[in-house]
Amino acid sequence: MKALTDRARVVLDRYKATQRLAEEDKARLFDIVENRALRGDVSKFDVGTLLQAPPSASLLHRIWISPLGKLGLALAVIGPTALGVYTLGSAEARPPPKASAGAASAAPLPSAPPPSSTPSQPLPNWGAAVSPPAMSGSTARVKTERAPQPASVDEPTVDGEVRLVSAAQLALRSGNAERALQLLAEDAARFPRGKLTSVREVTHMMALCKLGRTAQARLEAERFLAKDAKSPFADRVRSVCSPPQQSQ
Amino acid sequence: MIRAVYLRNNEIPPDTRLARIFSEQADFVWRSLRRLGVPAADVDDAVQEVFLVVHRRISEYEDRGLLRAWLFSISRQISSHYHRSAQRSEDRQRGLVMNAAAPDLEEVLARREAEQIVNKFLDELEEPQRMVFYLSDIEGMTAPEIAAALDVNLNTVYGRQRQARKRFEEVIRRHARETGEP
Repeated sequence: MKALTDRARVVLDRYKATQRLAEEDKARLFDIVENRALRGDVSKFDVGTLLQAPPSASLLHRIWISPLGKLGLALAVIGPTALGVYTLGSAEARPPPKASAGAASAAPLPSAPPPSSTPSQPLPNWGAAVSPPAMSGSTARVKTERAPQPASVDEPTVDGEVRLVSAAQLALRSGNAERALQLLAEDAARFPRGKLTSVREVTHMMALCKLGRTAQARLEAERFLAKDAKSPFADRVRSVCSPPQQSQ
Repeated sequence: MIRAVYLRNNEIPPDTRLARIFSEQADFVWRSLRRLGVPAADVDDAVQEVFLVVHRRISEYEDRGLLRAWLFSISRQISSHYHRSAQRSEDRQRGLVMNAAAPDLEEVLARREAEQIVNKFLDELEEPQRMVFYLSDIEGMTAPEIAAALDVNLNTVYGRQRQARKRFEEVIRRHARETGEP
């Protein structure tokens, strides 16, 4: 396949740089989506089968499509996260989220991204095996530096990170905040510049609250907001350690 | 037994997967929905619908290495529920100003120009080629990913890509001649 000339490539990169959500719109949208997801909202539209026939069926995929394999893999790989999420998602008695659906109808106003992404908005490289870098706006490209990492780093992908953070969240949900802190510390040591640092930090604050270490949690919250006031988690961080509303 | 507790937002740890996919792919989904004809006024709404589906059905996707193809196929189904609009120029004007973060005036102008060239080009391209060109040369997806996303065979993708690229190069050459660039 004949590649594009440099001149054509540059034009396309510039074009793409104009076609993005503004960071604040992105944060606002994520807030709405997450709230709706947690509330148990489903899409108002039916969506049928997705990706019927992937062109290259990996071993994992072959296991995946076998009847028992699906169950096994689902439990092994996504169990902790999905279980936690859906348990929460099904908790009916929850006050409505502060973000109203009305906010959603506001038109997006995309603008060029800031030269560097916030820590919580990393560039995509998930599934990098099959795709070149996606966000290739000529000026918006962010080099991911490889941080000096401890010798125990053994997983080059973010999946290890997801597992650790998910496990920590599960521990926290089941009331074991100490364990959550351990797992988060492990995550921080292994993925000091990981893609989930914001999620890790927020989870960490919550675990501290659970243990009554309110002062430290609030200190971390302050630092978090100083660093990234527009984070999708900013509201949550601002109200960290405020007392829960008990019922029954 | 399930505790009957009103959970507040600040007590729920963020959903790791949803957060990650959103932060990495929201722009892609947004662009795809626009490209699929969702009117500008509805696109925020459509993005929400796509990610609600993602949230519900992430277990179907797991580890298939075709995340964007998967997201695109969700976006395509969601977009079919919205009144289709051509990306007309008044639509475009809104989205596209990025002077705030652009490095300098020259780059702003260059982007503006690129925007006009590419939008015009895409408008004039036939639908099948347009989607392939968009996914391959704007989004950077591989041919197998595109084949999966559009549910067409690989050779079809290559064929459309070749034709679309050839036409785009012509547009670029013509533009260079007209503006007197070397």
